[in-house]
Amino acid sequence: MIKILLAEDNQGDVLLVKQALEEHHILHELYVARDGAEAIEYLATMGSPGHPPCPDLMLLDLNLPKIDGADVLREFRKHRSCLLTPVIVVTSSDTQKDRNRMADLGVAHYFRKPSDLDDFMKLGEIVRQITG
Amino acid sequence: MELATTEDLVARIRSLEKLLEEARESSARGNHKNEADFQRRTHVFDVLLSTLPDLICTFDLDGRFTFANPALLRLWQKPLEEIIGKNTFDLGYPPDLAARIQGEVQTVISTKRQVRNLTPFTGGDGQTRVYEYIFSPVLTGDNSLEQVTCTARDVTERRAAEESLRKSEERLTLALSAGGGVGTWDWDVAADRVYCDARFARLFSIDPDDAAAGTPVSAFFRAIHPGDRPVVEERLQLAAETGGEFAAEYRVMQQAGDFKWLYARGRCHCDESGNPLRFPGVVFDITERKLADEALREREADLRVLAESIPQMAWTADETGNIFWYNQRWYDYTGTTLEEMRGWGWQKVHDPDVLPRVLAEWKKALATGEPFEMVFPIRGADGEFRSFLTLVKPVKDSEGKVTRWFGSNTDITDQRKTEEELHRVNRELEEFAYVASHDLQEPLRMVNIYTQMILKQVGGQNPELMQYESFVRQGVKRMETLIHDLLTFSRAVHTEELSIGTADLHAALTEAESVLGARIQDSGAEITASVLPRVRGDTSQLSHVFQNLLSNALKYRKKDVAPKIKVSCARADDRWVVAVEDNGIGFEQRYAERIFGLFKRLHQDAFSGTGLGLAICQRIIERYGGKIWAEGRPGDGATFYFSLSPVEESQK
Repeated sequence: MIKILLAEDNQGDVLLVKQALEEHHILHELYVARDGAEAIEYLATMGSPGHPPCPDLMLLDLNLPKIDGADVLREFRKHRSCLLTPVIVVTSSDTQKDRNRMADLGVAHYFRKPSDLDDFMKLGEIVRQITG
Repeated sequence: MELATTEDLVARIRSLEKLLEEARESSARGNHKNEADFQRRTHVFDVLLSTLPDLICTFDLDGRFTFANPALLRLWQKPLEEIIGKNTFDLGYPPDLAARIQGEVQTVISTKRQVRNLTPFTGGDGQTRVYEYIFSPVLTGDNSLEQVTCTARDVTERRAAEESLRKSEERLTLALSAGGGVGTWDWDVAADRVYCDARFARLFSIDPDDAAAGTPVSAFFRAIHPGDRPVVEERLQLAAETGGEFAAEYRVMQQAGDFKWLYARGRCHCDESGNPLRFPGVVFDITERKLADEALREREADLRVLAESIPQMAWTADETGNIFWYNQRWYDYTGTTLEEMRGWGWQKVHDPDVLPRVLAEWKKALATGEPFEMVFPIRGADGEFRSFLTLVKPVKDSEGKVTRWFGSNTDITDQRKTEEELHRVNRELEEFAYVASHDLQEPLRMVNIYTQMILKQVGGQNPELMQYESFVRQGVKRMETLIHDLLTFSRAVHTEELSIGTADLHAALTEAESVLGARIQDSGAEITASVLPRVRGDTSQLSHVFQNLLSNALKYRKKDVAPKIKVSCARADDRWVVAVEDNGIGFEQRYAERIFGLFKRLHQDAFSGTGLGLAICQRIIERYGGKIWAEGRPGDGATFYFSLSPVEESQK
């Protein structure tokens, strides 16, 4: 059972992520932060009693309300326990600028949200590879 | 001491001679009682002669000296004893001169008449001077010749003065005649007669013959323009009364009905009691100058009107940089007066921090005579500084000497604001384009993906639902293409950093072919290209142009005919013209311009496309200073051309 933190504001995409994980039979516990602020909040309290644990993987949308995905990632890396935790960026942005920025912050994979259902489902395969 | 005239001298010598004669006579009568008297008289005679500055001597009838006065002896530097009984040859005169003088003495002796002449002579002191001399016969009572006297006078200075006077008179005459239309007058005030030359007379429409005989001054006044007459009269009167200078510019009416402008100058000479005697003067015809002045004034007035009509502030300065005129706009804006601004007063409306640079530029221009332009702030009447583009240009005469400076100040504060605003809007537009590309595509992705989801979960193999899903998918695809093309278009139009460098057309075409690789292969198209040059532009942008043109050629192909596309290039004047020719369905020439418009399509349903491709091509080509156009024949292919500047040799 891997613990996954998904930072995503689009409910449609949340559903698609779940679908992709299920399709690839990945046993998981999914914690969803629906904007940047919720994600930061999660990171601040994780591991403490009554709160969710430190995740094994973070799926991060860049275009988040309130706090930008890149800032969430920076905050994430500040936690000692999350230093080596893999991060997959799941975004509709395809600019070179965003790709470079994310590469600098150290992400395991940059997944551009496709507009084809089957293509989207391939996210499950990527998660499996990264989490072993 | 005033020198006596020759006539005076002769008279004086005569009286002396008379004295001598009387003495001789009384001596001959043997009146020895009078001997003392004779001696006394002779002594007086000697004293008198010795005081005369003129040179005096006497000759006997053989042409030998019998006497010479001290002045002459000083000149010769000889005592009297040495010269008595000698002639000029004996005294060592130059032979020519001696011969002449002895000849002249002989002439007097034979004709009993005076002989006057002039000669240079070098005295014992080595100085050469010019002497005027007169030989006179001394006749006895019975008219027989007794001896010959000679008086001579040093006229060197007088001759020099006369020569210089003659020369200056010549010069005056020459100057007057060269002056053009000049005339001279001499007014005998007491007799009221004006004597003048023919030129002066003609200027006043007076018969030159009458004028030479003397004409009352009133006759001349009749010719003076009534408007100028009072002033001339007043000045003439004043000069005549005070014995001073007279100068006036006035018009004289001509018989042809027009008038001439004259400049007159004269001076009244008065006698000791202040009565005017003579009033000579000259006039110059200054008509041409006056007309030129007038034309210049008119032209200047025109220029002033022009300078007042422009929205800029304007000013003029003399050759030294002193500003002497500003247009009204300057005073309106700065709230100053000419008195404050005159010369270099403009500095007080400048920003003290910028002023040194302005002064440096202005002084440099004054020193070099070169124009300059500069942007600097000028303070308005409200105390606020605004930014002005200032252009300063010299006006040069035919010899290239700067005679004036013209300057204009254009308020570019608003223009600068507009430029900044434009800059900002362009930046926003780019941001907007980025956001649009993301935010417009996101909902489409949802539509697409969940339509698939619906089909997958409930549709199964339902053919109707499958068709609906495909319509949704097509709509989404088309929308995505539109967004993509709009984005490309907006970038082609608004990209601020335009990189105009060297574009390799060959590389651009190769890149376009590789992007379209699959479609080229699928359609079985054959693309041929000639050697393509390097042009001014950007390789990747021009690759985009080739992509669009090739894509169109592939798209609008004839059914069942493999596309043949020919890319070629030719030089036309200073441009390279690239042609992309196909064998497709073509189009009617009347649509040749329309197809470059936004969203303009000729084939609504038969072929997919957004109608933006050619508009994008046009924007790209025009950005690099080129042109794009098309030729089409329905059913017989189309050719698209674009022209671009070649790369200069130095830029290769």
